[in-house]
Amino acid sequence: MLRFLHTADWQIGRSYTRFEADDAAALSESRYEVIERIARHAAHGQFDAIVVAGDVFDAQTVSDRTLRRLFNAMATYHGPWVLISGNHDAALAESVWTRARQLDLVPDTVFLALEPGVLLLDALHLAILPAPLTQRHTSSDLTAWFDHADTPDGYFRIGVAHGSVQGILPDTIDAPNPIAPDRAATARLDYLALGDWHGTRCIDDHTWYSGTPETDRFRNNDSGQILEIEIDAPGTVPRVTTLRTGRYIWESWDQELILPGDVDMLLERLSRLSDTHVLDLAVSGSVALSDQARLQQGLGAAEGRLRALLCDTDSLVLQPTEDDIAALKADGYLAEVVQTLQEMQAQGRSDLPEGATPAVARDALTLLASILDEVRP
Amino acid sequence: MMLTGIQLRQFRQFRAGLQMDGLTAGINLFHGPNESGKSTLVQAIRAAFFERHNTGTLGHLQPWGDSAAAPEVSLSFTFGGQQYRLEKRFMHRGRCHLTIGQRQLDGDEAEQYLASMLGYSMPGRGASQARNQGVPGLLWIEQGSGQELHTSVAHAAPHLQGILNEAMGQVASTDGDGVMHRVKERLAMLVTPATGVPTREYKKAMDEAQRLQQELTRLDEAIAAYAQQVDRLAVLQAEHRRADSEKPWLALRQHEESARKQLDAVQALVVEQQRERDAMQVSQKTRQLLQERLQGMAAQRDAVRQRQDALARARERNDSLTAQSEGLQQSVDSARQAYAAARARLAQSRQYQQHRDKRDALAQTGDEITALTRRLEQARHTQESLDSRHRLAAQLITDAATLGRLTQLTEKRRVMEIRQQTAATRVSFELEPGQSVSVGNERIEGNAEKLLTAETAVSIPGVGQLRIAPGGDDIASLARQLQSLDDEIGGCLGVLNVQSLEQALSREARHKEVQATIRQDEAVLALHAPDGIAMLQRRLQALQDRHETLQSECQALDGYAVEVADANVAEAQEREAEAQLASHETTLQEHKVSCAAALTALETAERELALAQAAVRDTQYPESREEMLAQLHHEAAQQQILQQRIDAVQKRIDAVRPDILEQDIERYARSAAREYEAHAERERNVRELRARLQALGAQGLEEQRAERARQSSATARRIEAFQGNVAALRLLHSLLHQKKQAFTRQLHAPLTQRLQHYLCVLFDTDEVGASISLGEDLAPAGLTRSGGSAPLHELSFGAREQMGTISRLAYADLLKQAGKPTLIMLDDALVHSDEHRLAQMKRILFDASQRHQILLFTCQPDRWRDLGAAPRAIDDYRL
Repeated sequence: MLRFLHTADWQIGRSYTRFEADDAAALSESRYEVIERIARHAAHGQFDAIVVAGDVFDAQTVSDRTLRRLFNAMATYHGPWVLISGNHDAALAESVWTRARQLDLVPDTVFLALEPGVLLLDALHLAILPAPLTQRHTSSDLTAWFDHADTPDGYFRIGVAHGSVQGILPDTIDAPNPIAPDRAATARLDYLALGDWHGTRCIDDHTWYSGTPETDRFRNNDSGQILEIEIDAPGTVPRVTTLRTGRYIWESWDQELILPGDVDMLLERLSRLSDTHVLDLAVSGSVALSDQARLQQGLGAAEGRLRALLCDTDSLVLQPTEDDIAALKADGYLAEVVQTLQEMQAQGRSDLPEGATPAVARDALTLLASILDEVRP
Repeated sequence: MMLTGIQLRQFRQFRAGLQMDGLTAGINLFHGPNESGKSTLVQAIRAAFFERHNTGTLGHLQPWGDSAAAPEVSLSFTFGGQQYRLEKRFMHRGRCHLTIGQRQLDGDEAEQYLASMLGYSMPGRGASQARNQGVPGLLWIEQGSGQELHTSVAHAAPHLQGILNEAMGQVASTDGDGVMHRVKERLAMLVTPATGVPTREYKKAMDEAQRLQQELTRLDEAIAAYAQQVDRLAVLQAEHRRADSEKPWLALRQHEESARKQLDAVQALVVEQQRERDAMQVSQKTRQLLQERLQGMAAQRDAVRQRQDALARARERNDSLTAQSEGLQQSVDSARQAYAAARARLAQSRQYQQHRDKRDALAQTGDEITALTRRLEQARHTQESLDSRHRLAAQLITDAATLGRLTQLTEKRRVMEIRQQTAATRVSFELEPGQSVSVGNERIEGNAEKLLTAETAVSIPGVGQLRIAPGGDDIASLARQLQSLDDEIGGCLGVLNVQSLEQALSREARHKEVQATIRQDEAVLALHAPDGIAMLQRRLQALQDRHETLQSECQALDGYAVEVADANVAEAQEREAEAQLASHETTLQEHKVSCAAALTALETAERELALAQAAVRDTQYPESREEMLAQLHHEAAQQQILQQRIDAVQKRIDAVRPDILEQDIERYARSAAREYEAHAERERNVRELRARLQALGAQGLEEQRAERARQSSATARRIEAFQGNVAALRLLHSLLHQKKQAFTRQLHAPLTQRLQHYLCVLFDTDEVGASISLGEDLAPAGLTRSGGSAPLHELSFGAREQMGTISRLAYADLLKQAGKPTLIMLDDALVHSDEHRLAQMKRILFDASQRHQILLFTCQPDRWRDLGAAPRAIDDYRL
């Protein structure tokens, strides 16, 4: 029986431009940590091998330190690692891989399959058929040679490839680097380990995308997992088990505030999130002046608690209630200013002064309220 | 409020005091020259209200040099139907007493009452300052400060604002200004107030964004360059691998070798060909030598033949020349004879010509002598006639003067006679036929008439004698005069030796006739003998002498002169003969020279022939000519064979092109070297490029870029936040400003309306649209007219003064409407206004005086005569 782990799309060296420095650093850091966890899991679970289906690195030119840290993170597991290159880390004439070799970072247990050709791990009776990318993009199916590749009898035939399975995945991700959907069958593979799609996905009994082990985007696609594969004997159907490895949970909320209680509801939902959450929050609708202060406070608290919070309140309208207005105690022309700002928030007005939008009017009203608080003793 | 009376005591100029009553509503005009106390009066009114009675700092109110004086001022006025009297004393025993109807107020209480009533404040201590003087400070315009408004308005503003707010019934905004202040503060933290350019943190963020963008661009370029180099490396590596396996330089080396072998084969052919060429050259030289010898032989023979021909020609020429000599000599001799004959003929012809000329001259002198003899006779005859006429003329000559006198006298006498006849007694006779009378000695018959000039006796036969004496003295006098004239006439006649005037005149006429004849004769004489008869005679003599000479010469030649030919013809013939001779002589001379030359040529030809013959004789050749010709033929055949061989070898050489082969060898050698070098170079390049890429890769360019991109988007978010903040603040600012302005406009409306009222009067009625804008401090800020608008402080002094006055009147109207007391004082106001504006200002002042009491002080009462107010001379009220 063969037991191995299938993972891909580690994207080491990835950075997160939408986040503040500390959040971005923590998210980048988490990508090493997940490798350490995988290595530990493999060692602990005595898996026969780990297959990594491309995009180990996010870019070709990563620093030496990044390279060293990755191989350090892998060090816990001494079994064979089989790594192929993906579109982000294609095995070019000079690549992140040549540098790793140059720096002498690659231990004997790590097999870099950077050229097509059968790799035999005789101890395991395992024949690896890798389809590494040697160009950034290719329009031909690099797994085509699998069909005619001879492997010793009684050896497991495991394919490793990086690209898009034609006709099954949405067109949105890297459309080049095509892979025939029936490759496992035509090449008589026991298992085809795929990378490039960041969510876990089963193509057929013998063909899986493992997804990235640590989520790196808001798109909810079942990521942050690896696959445990067990094959009893060559030619049998493998047993595939998903294993949660990701630390952070990425969520995307679109919240419209309409009723007076909506703010409380949102705050309540936020309060349930912890420091493992990365949240993309868009708030729209309208809010009373008093509620707005609470909302701001709640958002501030969430920002401190969550790993990262992206908040978009551009479409939120400030709608002071009569009580709000009374509380402002704006008299004389100030009262008229408040009135005008309120009117300006109404969408679709064409008579706004230059540079003023409903959002600007809302901010101005918020500012006015806060300034009035300051001015009064 | 209306001031009705003023009393002063011991007050500056008014040492004794001043008493002025009966001030009226409307305009009160006070005048007086400089130093008459106008300003003192103003000062007194101001002091009465503004100054504390118990302050010791008002020494300037005392008469000059009188420190013991206690200046006093009392004012009477009415307001709101109440009578007021204010009495105030300063410096010594200061007091203040105010009577309001029945009510009495003293000291501070009285002062505070007035202050709140008029809208000013009392100074804490010391003299009143401008800031204390509130509303009156504004309405009481001091000398020369009409144009200055802002500070006065500022001091009065709280009072005015209060009134306006009261009128509006609402407050501006409790916190409006505070909020505005904060908004500006916050905005200033973000953008510069003047230009709205980002500043401080905002600017830093902008700069940071720019810096990051630049760095991103740089990194992008570096990454692109890196990727490009990686591709280049891949290409190089592929090439290197291919070259390494194919080794293209080896093939090139083989090509080179085979070309070299071909070239060696050709070299052998070239050597063989060269041998043939050498043999060919020897043969050619032999042929050339033989040909030269043969040619030499032929040339010598030709030379002898030519010399012989030349000798024959020379001899022939010499002979022919010699034959010609005699004929030529004869021609010369005959020409010489012809010349001598022509000369003789010419001499004869000339002699004949001379003879003929002399004969012609002889005939001519004969003719001249005849003509001259005739003229001489004519001249002599004329001379004789002339002499006789001269003698006659001498006898006929009359004295012209005496003749003139005679003529005159005769005329005069005739006149006298006429006068005598006129004066004479006229006696007419009509006698019977046959009867006669004697008058004097005269007998008369028939009808007659007689003039009697002297007593005359008329005898009538048968009757007797009538003695008639003409009457009057004249007759006698005339008779005497006539007698005297007759005497004179008789004298003249005697002188002229004539009987009568007529005779004298006739003689004179004859004289003139003779004179005319003389002149004719003289002309004739001048014609024949212009130089006198003697001269004519001499000429004749000379001619006669010449005639004789010619005659003798002619006779001498007569025998010899023979007519031969015309002299001209003879001369031409002589010249021709001479030319002929010369020509013949020249020909002969030339011929002689030719003969000599021919002889020399002959001798030369003989010598040359001898030389040529000697040369033929002396030259020796090894072979005979026939032998030489045979050898020549043999060599030609030899050469033909050699040439065929050479050509055959050349064809074989040409077929392989050794020059191209050499180039091939070089080409292949170079190509091989280049290929090999390129291979080594590529290997080097691969090594270098790889090393460079490793170094670049180690920099972690993409990681750096990702970090910069993150920073860049964080900065962009910050900038967006700043922008939003600025936009919100700007909106807030502009709204606050806008709303406040609207509110202020509303607040200022009553004041603006009053200002507009006066402005319309000040400017011509046709100037529509003139308006004053008010600043927040209630002071006029700018003037807008049809030509545009200008800030108030940029207007002319005169205009500012007018605006100042108008504004004050407007404030006064506002106060009046609010039921406040108003009193307007103008001290020497509007001195800078032109006539037209002053007239308009007077209308304005008069209009204002319908509502307010106006005290107007001036030193130019004439300017204000048409204000409708009786002027008061301040001096009149002095005590």
